[in-house]
Amino acid sequence: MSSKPQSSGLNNLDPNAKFNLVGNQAVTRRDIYAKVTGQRKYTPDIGPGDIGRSTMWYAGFLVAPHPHARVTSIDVSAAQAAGYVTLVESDLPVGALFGIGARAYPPLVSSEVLYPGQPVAAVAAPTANEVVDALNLIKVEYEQLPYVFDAQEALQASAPQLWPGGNVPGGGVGENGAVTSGTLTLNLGDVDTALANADVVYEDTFGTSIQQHFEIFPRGAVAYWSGGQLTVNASTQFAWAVQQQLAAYFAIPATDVRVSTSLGGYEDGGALGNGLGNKSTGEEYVLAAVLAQKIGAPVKFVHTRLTHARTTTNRWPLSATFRLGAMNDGTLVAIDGIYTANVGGRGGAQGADAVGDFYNAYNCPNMRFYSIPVTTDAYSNGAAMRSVGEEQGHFLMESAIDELAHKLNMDPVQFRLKNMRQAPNPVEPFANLPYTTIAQPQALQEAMQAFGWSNLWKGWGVPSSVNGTKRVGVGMCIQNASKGSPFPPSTSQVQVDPDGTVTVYIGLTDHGAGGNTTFPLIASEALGLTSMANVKLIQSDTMYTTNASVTAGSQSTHNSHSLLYAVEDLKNQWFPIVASKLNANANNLAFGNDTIYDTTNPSNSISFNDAAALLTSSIKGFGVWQIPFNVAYRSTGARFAQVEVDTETAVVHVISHTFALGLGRTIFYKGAIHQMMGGSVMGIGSAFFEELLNDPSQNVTVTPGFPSSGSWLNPNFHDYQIPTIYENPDSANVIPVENIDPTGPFGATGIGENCIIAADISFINALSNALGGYRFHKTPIRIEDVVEAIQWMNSNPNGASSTSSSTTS
Amino acid sequence: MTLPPRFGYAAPRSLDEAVRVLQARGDEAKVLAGGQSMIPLLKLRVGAPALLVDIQKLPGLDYVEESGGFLRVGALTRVAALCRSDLVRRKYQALHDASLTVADPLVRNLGTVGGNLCHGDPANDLPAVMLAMGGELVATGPAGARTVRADGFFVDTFTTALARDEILTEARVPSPPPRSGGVYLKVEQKVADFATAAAAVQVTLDRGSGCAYVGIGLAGVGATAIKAKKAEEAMAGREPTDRKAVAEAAGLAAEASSPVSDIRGTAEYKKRLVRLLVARGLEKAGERARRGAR
Repeated sequence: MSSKPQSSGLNNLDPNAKFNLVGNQAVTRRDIYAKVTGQRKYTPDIGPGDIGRSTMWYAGFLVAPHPHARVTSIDVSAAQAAGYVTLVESDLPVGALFGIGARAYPPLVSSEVLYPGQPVAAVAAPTANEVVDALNLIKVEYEQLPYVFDAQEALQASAPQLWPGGNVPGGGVGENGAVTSGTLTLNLGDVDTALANADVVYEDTFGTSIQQHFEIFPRGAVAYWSGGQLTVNASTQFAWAVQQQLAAYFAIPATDVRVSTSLGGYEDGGALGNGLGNKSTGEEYVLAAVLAQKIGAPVKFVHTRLTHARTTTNRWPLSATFRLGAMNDGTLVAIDGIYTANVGGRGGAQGADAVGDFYNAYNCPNMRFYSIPVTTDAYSNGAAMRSVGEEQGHFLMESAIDELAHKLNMDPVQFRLKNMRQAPNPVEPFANLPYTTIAQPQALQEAMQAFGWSNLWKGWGVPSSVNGTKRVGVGMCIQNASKGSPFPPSTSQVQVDPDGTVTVYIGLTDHGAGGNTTFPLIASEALGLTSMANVKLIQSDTMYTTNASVTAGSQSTHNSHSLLYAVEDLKNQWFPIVASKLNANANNLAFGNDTIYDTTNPSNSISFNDAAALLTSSIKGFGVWQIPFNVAYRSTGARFAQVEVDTETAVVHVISHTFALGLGRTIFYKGAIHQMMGGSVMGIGSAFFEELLNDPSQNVTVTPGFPSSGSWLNPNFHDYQIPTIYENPDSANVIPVENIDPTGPFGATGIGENCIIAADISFINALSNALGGYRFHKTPIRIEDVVEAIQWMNSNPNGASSTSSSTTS
Repeated sequence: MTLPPRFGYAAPRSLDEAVRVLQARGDEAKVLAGGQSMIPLLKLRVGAPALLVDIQKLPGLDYVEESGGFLRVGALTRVAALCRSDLVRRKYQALHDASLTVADPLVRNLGTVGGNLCHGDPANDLPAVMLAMGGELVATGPAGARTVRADGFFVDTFTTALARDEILTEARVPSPPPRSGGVYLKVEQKVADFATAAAAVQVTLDRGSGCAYVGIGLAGVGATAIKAKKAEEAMAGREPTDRKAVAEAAGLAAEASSPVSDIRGTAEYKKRLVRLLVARGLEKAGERARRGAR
């Protein structure tokens, strides 16, 4: 596979190229009408009639309310007596594990509960209403065990040890505090000497919180068997992987398992209801299949918001302690960072991506990073949530960098311009990999100008304006994030029928980022079409599609590069037939403007449909693309924000936001613009609202009328708050920067998660500027944090002094 | 997916019929109007009434009109109707302000004025306005209609003065005389969240510019909506531009509140908000009263 060229011959990388559909601002989302009118059918919408059955059973999880406990007994007899079908761990095949990542796990707890919300039993009932009744009939006895929520506490020798071998997965902390294996250590230059010789040394600690994706549709699956063949209509970002895992679990050939995102097929394939990284795989897919087998009827399992929030994956809390050194002229000379990742009860994540972001974002000769993953009972499983640690990592990095610039009393933009990695010839410093492309310094310069920074920035801790009790501040940050790792080859197919219909087959799905439009758009452009009217899409359905890797990591546009190879393969089958009709050499033919024409004599052409009519049957082109391994794929950009705070009520309001992001080339223009805006809004959530909370007393009422009876405090849309349209900035300006990536289709890089990274810290840096330079250390910024900042400001009338330790040598 | 438990359902066509159903089964029944609080409670299984009495088909309970010295609002009037009402916007500003901040547009389209009041949720917006404006509530039961003053209606959290066989049929507030103004100020973490704290203030100025009437209602800062009586009395005859008077009243209003610390902020912060919102509210209501002077 690696012998494939890096780019298809159909890939037009000319920065000034003219396209029909690529970047065309008139192209609208293909499924928009079906979505807005509610016709799109998502997994939770599927009823028995949709799968040709007359009945369906409905399943749910009983989850442990305790953070750490031993299950001493489970009594399902009352539920069974009432006619419900139950599953506990001992009902499952011995040794059958499920899950991705380092730790596979049994889908139901075997003895020890490691986080609040761990599934203990599953139940199915013949109607959806009865699921809760059935769950209430199951009696579980627990012996509660000492638990630990905080990562730093979990590192202490006295902390409860949650996994054999300790709380640092695959390693530990020695007696002298030295970090052993399981951790990441990187060292470049001589950090200690550089810090000793630096003019300014700044030291501080920052941290983030547990967040939940809370995608609009919770995770779920409909499973049914026909003879020995299993069909699972799942809300999944990676149908192919779920198929493989189910086949392994039931020990049947993968061809006997069909997994599709929602119903699969033409129109409802890929109806995911958003994923944000939470829907790669999950225990409900296998449990629905086991229950369906046991009952002999289709089983639908859809998470409640509680089980969705507490059983599925989360964005993990990441903290970092930095020592940064700089010279008086603003040169960054040393970065010393220790990252601690609270990876939850099931583990999985760590700080590697965040570390990579720091050493990529800034040029610095002396850098040392430790990253420690720590198991705790705080939540289930640290995993992807619109980026893999990079959203957290950028908050940590851009808080510290901003404060260092503050110490130097240097304009934060100038500090970044001086120290950030930028063109020409950017290289990832540890593995020495050349970047495929970089949007800096262009992105920073364009965003700065569009925002009007030079008029609005009045200095550290000096607001842009003060009007009565309202203070307005401005802030900024940059981003440099990984945009997906090299995965196994991505495959796809493109078919042309004699009637001119084109069908695109791709194993990727649509997160909501616009893949439904982007995938057929790329194929259509390569086919020289000016419209997608006759182009159909089948996506994320293992009956028709092959492995195209996971829809994640902002890499789907990149992975749909395989479509160019598929069109090339199609061309090789088709052009000889067309050439004989045109009396031309097949090697001279090309697609263009709904025709196939002779490049040596462009007037010698045939319309696309007439050329298709020459075919005696459908032809299908096969594409394989392997993302090259020897380069660095980075998403680079810059953000500026203007935030108002009322110093009496502590109410914060985002006034404006400017975001410039390197997109390589914009493929689906409207989708890209909306992704950029949406990511910024999500960043407001991360900055000011989003945090999954635990209550150590395990018995607290958050909101009158909504009692809680577990360790969770806010596993619902009411108490876990995400921004609505009303919390949007008054104005948002997004600037796509076209920095051609030669490895992407038509030079594209990617978009989805690149739009959340560093969003929160732009707002927070602006709020800091409004409040006399107060430095916030943890996201989300809660109202009491703003109150504290206002009090600090009022008692430090000079503002702009430090809240943190620093030394000037 | 969480669905409500099984429940019985009745949809009476007349008020008499509805009252008869409640008389027969009031102990196990709950009245369903717009459903914007009831349905989530059922889905969360906070309550499991055996019977839902859906009153949405009752005729003649959807109106906003001025008569007999009152603004009368039928209990089945959707909150959105108050938002759209020109009459409410012009003369009953506190009610209009509050209506615009009830939850979000989807909830306002379906949620009813009666439901907002009868739910007895201390964080709801309309109870505070009723208290500030000296409103009354009309309850209809087996013995006919009776009028309950707003300051006697909100008994406890989720508990009102309605008997089990009574239905709220009308909410009314006195038509304010000339030189009156009102305002509703609310701080919420984000739109559609419960109020962190909110204050309704209604002011009528006398011939000079002192207060002839002051009403202050608080939301989200106690077991029920609160009428800040001492604060109201402290303003009697004094001017809403009198900073000393306003500060004194605002402090008394904060004392009357008893918020709890939660994810929306500490009790101390919420008390400070009450002081701020009442002070700003008095100032704003006074301004509106002067502007509207006739």
